[in-house]
This record gives sequence, structure tokens and C-alpha cells, in this order.
Amino acid sequence: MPTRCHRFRVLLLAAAGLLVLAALGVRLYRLQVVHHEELKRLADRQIGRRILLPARRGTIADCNGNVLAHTVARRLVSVDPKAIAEIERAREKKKRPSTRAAFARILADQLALPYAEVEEKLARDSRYVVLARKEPADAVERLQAALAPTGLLGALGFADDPERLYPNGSLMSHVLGYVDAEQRGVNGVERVMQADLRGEDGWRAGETDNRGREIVAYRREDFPSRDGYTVVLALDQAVQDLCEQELDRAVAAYRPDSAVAIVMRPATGEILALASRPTFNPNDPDKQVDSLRNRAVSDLNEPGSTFKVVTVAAALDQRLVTLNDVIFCENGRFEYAGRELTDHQAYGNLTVAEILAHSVNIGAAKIALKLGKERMYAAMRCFGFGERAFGDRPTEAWPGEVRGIVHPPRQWSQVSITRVAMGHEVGVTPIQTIGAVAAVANGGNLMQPLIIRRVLDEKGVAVREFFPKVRRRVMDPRAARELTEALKRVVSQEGTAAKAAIPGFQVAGKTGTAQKLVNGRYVHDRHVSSFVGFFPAEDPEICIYVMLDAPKGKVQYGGSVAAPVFREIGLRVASYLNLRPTVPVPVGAPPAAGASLAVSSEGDAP
Amino acid sequence: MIRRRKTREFFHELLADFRWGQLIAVLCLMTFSLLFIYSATVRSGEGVPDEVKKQGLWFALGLVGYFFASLLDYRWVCRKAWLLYAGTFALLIWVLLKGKKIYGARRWITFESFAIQPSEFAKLSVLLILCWYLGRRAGKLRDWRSLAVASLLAIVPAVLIHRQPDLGTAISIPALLFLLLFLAGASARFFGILALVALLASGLVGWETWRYTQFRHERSARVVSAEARYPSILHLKEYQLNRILGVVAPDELDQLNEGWNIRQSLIAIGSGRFSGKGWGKGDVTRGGYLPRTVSLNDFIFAVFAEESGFVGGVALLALYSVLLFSGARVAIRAGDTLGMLLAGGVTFLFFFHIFVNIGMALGLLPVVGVPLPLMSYGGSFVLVCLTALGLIQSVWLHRNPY
Repeated sequence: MPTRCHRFRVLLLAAAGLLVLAALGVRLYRLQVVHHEELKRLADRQIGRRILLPARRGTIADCNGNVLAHTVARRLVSVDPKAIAEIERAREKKKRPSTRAAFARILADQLALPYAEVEEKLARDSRYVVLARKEPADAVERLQAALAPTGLLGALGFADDPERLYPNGSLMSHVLGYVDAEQRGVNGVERVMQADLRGEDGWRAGETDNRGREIVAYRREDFPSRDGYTVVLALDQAVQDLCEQELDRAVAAYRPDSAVAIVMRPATGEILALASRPTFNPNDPDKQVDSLRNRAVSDLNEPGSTFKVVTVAAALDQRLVTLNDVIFCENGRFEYAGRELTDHQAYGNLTVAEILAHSVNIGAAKIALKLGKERMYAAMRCFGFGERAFGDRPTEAWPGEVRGIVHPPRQWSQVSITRVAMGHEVGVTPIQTIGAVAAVANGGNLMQPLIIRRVLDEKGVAVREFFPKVRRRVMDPRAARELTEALKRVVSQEGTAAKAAIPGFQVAGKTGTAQKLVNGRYVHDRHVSSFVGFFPAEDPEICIYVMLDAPKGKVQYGGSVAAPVFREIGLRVASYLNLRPTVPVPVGAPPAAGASLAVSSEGDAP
Repeated sequence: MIRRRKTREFFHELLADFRWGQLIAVLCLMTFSLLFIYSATVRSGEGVPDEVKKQGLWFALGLVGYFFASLLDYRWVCRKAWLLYAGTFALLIWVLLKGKKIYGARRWITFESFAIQPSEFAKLSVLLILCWYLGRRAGKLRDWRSLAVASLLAIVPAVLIHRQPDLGTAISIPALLFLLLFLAGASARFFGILALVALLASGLVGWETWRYTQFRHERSARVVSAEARYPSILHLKEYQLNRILGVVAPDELDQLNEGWNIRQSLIAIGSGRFSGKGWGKGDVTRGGYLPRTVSLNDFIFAVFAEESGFVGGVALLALYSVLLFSGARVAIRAGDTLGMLLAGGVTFLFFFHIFVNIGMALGLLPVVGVPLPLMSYGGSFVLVCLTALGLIQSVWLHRNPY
């Protein structure tokens, strides 16, 4: 019989046991009641009660509805190597044959991966290894069907992995921009229209397991996604294509550091084409910052003689001069404020129109002097220099657009006014220059560049539309008409841009050849060669800007480098748009496209 | 005729005397076990998982063993204990030589799709043989020879089990030994020495753990190579030290790797709240955050507590209390020292497993692979538990010597 001592010992232990069980209960209480909230948060965070139903990113189309960028559904295939090991172990327990090798083989075949790579990934000590990205949905279905007999399908994970496709490759790349790995627009239209393109992700209340797969049994609520809207651009894929072809031809011939071409409708500010070189392929945006930059909005250059348009426009608008006023051009050497201003050729008395036609620096400087510092500065600002063409408001600002540099008069030196008049000591962007010239073309309205026309919902109904917007009047129509007359003479045999002439149309425009600043000094062998013009001069339909930065070759004048590109683009755009010729086409013209692009050694006036 | 009447009377008495409370608690636990193993293993679109069916089968077998053991006279059972002990001993050696290696441990002997774990049976056979040995010497445990023999009987199988390795089971056997020595009336001096040794041992382990923490810092600071293993003086493996760290300093561990299971267990239990998420709705455990390989055996409590909440957890503790106090009552009212030792030993084994397993799931104790009696998935342990409970019943039913 157990003694009393024995019983006492049992009771002692029972009491101790009771205490221990009570301690467990207390701990349970602390975890489940006291610390419930924080542990629940941890649980929810890893489970994610909402399953995302991702919206498909909207399409970008040109003005004729051609698709420029669209998103296709793709799948990401991942594997959980530890799950494979688990399933294989369970199989081993049941004495069933291993299918791991067959599994790896099928994966390698279906995903077109090297077998060794698949093996290596399956062998990793991890819970998540990506096998393939951007797999077409039907390929993934085939893969699943092929893998089903192996019984290891459960170790694979699938996720949406949409792919943004730009069917035209690098065409219009700088306007379109591109998207990052998370499908967010990084640049261009993709960035500006991010909110419309993105759409609205839907969600489904449900739960996911530790591999992120939905536990269907827990599905509760749905909130459907809305795909992104379609964004319709003002740009025309065909115009863009011919514009880029011509620009590429010039780039091949002159090997400039960079180049820009813009085609704009002066009446509305609609941009029909915008090309920047070097370029990139948005399907695979390399990380070369130089190629990604849209030089039409981001790069500053001294415009050179094209800026004389602004100088003369202001003087005409203020009625300080008329086209026929004669100005003495100092025979090529003009001493002002202790500094000498020279021209490449000694001119005597010239009319204002002739000063533009021959692009005479001294003449322009003297016109600017008539204007005076304040009015010259006001004119530049009025024409949109020193401000963003697309505006500053976050809803419309263009990514990467810079304001340019226009110093206020109090920072000017004595000679600044003579330099500014001919497009030095200012920093402008191509989009600003073409905007200013387009304002001359349309009778004095500075337009906001229009790249995006409308936003359409999935039924094709316009959700939003963007209309041409006059930023301000910059000159009265009379002055604009007069200036156009003068600019017509630039594109004539007497002018600097005879090579810009387009058969059948009266072209008005202005060349620019700015010496480049290298280490703070102007050098004579590197120029920014540009031409900006419009046609038909009587009723301008098209305005084109061409710029080649530091073209290689003996002749780097805008009139011989950029003007021919203008002509070729203009010819083809006119033909594409069926513009009615306004002047009789001379017999024998037009010349074959590109024939005039051979580097000529004949000198033109800058 | 008389014999038959006697038999009938005997069964009548038996039914009247049977500790029904214990059986009801057992049946409740079994139901819980099947429900929550189902919850831990079922995948959508599939039928009843194999694990549930197997566990059901083991329960059925175990109940047969339970009733059988309760009918047998425990005295006879203990006299034959050496047979079971020898058999288990052979199996332990066999499993070390030829056993199936799963998760790096040789613990299982497999037949077809069934596997048995000799170490679980070792618990019962060591218990029985110690009861038999100590039962004859109760009250006379003053000589060191008896202590030494008793210790040897327990320690040798424990060492064999430790070699598998199976730390949880290996620890449970010495613990059982000390309990039985205590109940059998070993001197206070013996336990004084034992307490001293235990203090020294925990001091050593504490010091080793501290040194290991320092080593981890050096390794993460690249003072020593990243591949370097900790040179343990006590020959503890890093994962074992990690488990100690998991309790005393969980933040030292890499949460995504070393401390994963215990962290997920705490999240599962904590997110269960007062009333639980409902059966089959434990998203932490069902989602596989608590790995499926452990959620149905060592961490079944996490599944249970997540889905049934604090209410369920307390109910479970209450059910176990019924078992434990029923066992303690039997031990006190036992007919002889042998019966007292047996009932006390079985009750202690239950208590040990419940405490270590739930303590581990609640983050109070280091992770050691100890199953939760009658809840965890695993056939051998189910058989052992039910047979052992049957023996308690036997001690009760046979308390009056004929």
C-alpha cells in the first residue's frame, strides 16, 4: 500500500502541475487576448486579405488610331523548391517513383530554358525562385497541362506579369516614353498620362497562402478592375516615320552629337511628329541616359540666327522698323561697347528684310539696340523663351522639359543686347523655338504644344479631350504677315536657306548656325545647325524644326545641313497630307528625296 | 456456471467502476485531433486527407489497446515488462542501424505506408520496467545500487534515442526516471544532489548559449568566416542552440529562417483571438505559413488555438486536466506502490508532453519535437498514449487485490 508520504508526494506534484497548466493558460491569454491586435496585424500582412485584380494598362494610339503602345497579359512562373522537396518526400514515403527529373525536363522544354539552369533553380534552398517572366498566357496553360501528370504542379507559382509592347520599336520613343518594371510610366506620354493609362486595380477579398495563391474557398467579395483608358495622340505615325527616316539620313551623313526634328501644325500647336537622336527602343529601354533624353524639350542650345526672328518680330510689332527700313551694317565690323561684332561678309546698307535674308549679325544687333534691353527681354519672354512650353502645372507639364535660360536685363553686360539679338547668351529648347516661329506663322498666337488629343474609355467614348490652347498673343497679325514676307526671302536664291525650298509651296523660315561654347569659349569648328520654317507661307499648314548639334563636315551651316532635311520632310509631309500646291511646280522638280543631302562645300551665309 | 456468473459480475463491477470521465476526455481529444489534423492538411478540391484516415485507424487500434490494457492486471503487465523492454531495445538498435532517415533523423521503421517510431514505445517500456523494479524496492531506496540500476535501465535507451537524434523523447525518459524515483521515495539528499546537477547543467547551457550569441555576432560581422560553425563545448548543434535562443532572445534569430516556425506559431495563436477564427478558417496555418510538415504533429496546438481561440485553448487544457487529475487520483488511491508508480508515471508522461508541446507552441520553451498527446498526428504515440491510459484504468479497476 502506498504510504502517506507517497500520497503527499503525488499531491505535491499535482499542485505543481496545476500551476504549470495555469501558466500555460495565462500565456495563452496574453497571446490571444492581450497581444491579439499586433499578432493579427502580422497575420493579415502576410496573408493579404485583398487579392489584387490588376487593371490592364491602356493603349496609346496615334491620331489615326494606330496602336503605338499596348499591354498584353503575360505570366510570371516561379517555383518553390522546398515544396518540391516536400512533395517528393511524401511520394517517397508512399513508395511512388520520383518525377522530379521529368518535371525539370518539361519545364526546360516548355520555357525554352537550359536544363542545367532549371536544375540549378530547383535545387536552391529557397521558397521562391523566378523561372520565367513575361510568358504568354497560352504557353503557361500548355505548361500546366504538360506538368499536371508529374504531380509537382503545386510547387509552381503563377502571377500576372503584364508586358508593355511598342510595336513600332524605337519610333516615337521619346514622345511615348516607357514604363518601369512595375508598369509605371517613366517618361513621355506614359508618364504624363499615367493616371489615365493605369486604370483602376480591382480586388477580391479572399486569402492567399504562403505562396501567394488564392485560397478559393475563402473568396468573399469582388470589386472589378477597370482597364486603363486609351490615349489618342495628335502625332501621326506616318509623319513621324518619314520624319525619323529623313532625320536618320541626315544623322548618317553628318554624324551630329544629337539631332531633333519636330513637325507642328502652327494653327493649333498640334505636334505631328517629334524625333530626337540618339534614340532608344522603349521595349527595352537601356539605361543610357543620353539616349533616353528627349532633346526637343530637355536640351538647351544657343539658337543662333533663328533667334533673329524674335528680334525682328518685336521691332516690327512695336513699329520701330518696317521691312523696308534701311540699316547700315558697318561693312562687317561693328564696334559696340568696346567689343567688336563681325559678320562673315561685309554688308553696307540693307533693308530689314535683307538683314533677315542674309542673316546679318550687325543688322540684328542694331535692330535690338532700337528695341532696348527691356523691350528685347520682354519680347523673348513673350515668345515663350525662359518658360516651359507645356506649362508648369503638374497635370500638363511634360516630363523633363526645361525652362531654358533667359537672363533678366539687370544681369546683362553692355554687349549682351547685341549677342541676344543673334541668339547667343540665351539657352532655348527646340520646342520653344518652333513654338515661337509657329506663332509668327499663325498670325501671332503662341500655342501650347499639343501632343495628347483625347482620352477614350473602353467603349471608345471620349472621357477627356484636349483642345488647342493659345498661351498668349505675341504680335499683331500685321507684323506677323510682314515678318512672314521677310522669312520667305530667306528661302530664296538670295537668302541663306535656298535649300529649304519645297517645290509647289512658298516656304518661309530661318536658318541658325550657332557656334558652340566649349569650356566657356566659342569655337569655330563646332556649331548647332538648325532650320525652322513653315509652308505654305500664305496660309501655313506645317511648321518644321530641324536641328543638328555639332554636325561633322566642312560645312556646318544651318542652310546647308538642316535646311535640306527640312525640305525633304516638308516634301513628304505635304504629299502625305495632300496639301494643294500654292505655286506652280517648276519643271523637273522635285528632286529625289535625299539627293541634296550630300555634303556640299559651297558656302552659305550663316 | 459459477465461473460464468463470476465473469458477468466482474464485468458488471467493471462497468460501474470504470473511470468514464477519463474515457470521455479521451474521446473528446480524439475528435479534436481528427478535426484539426483535417484542417491542417486538407487542400481545396481534395477529399479527406490520408493523414486523417490514418489517424482514425490508429485511434481505433489504440482504443482496442486501451480497453485491453484496462482489463489486464497491471501487476501481471509489469511482471512481463522486461519482454517489452527487450523488444523495444532491439528495435531501438535496429532503427539506428537500418531505420528510415527522414528530416535527418533515423526514427522510423516503415512497413508499406505505415511507419512506427520505436522511441515512442521506449517511453512506455521504460516506464513499465522502472515501475516493476522500483515497485519492489519502494521505501528501501537508500542504497546507491538500486538507484544506479534504475538509472541505467532508463539512461541506456535514452542515449540510444538521443543518437537518432530525437531530443524531445530522449529528455522525457530521464525526466520520467526522476519522477518515479521521487514517487518511489528516494531520499531528499538524492534530489538535493540532482537539483545541484541540474543547476550546474543549466548554468553550462546558459553560458554556452551566451558564447554562441557572441559567436553569431562575430560571424555576422564577418570577424569569422560566414561558413564557420560554432565549436560547441557541450557538443550542442547550432540548431539546438538556436532553439534556446528562440525562447530567451528571439530577436537574435533570423526571423525568416531560424525562428520561422515559432514565429508563425505565435502569429497563428495570437491572431486566433478569444473565440477563434472558426474551424477550417485558420489562415496562417492553413495557408502554409506554419509549414505543413509540422502543423499536424508538433504544432497542432497552433492550428487548434488559431481556429478555436482562447476558449478552445482553455477547453483543451481543461480536458487534459481531467486526464491528469484522474490519473493523480488513481495514483493516490492505488492498491499498491506499483500501481501508484504506474499511474503516477503515466500521468507524468502525459503532463510532460502537454507542457513541453504547448509551452513550445506558446514560445515559452525551446522547440523540441514532442507530440501533443492524443492530438498530434502519429500512430506510435497514439498507441502508446492509449495503452498507457488503459494501464491507469487497470490500476484503478484492479486496486483491490483479490
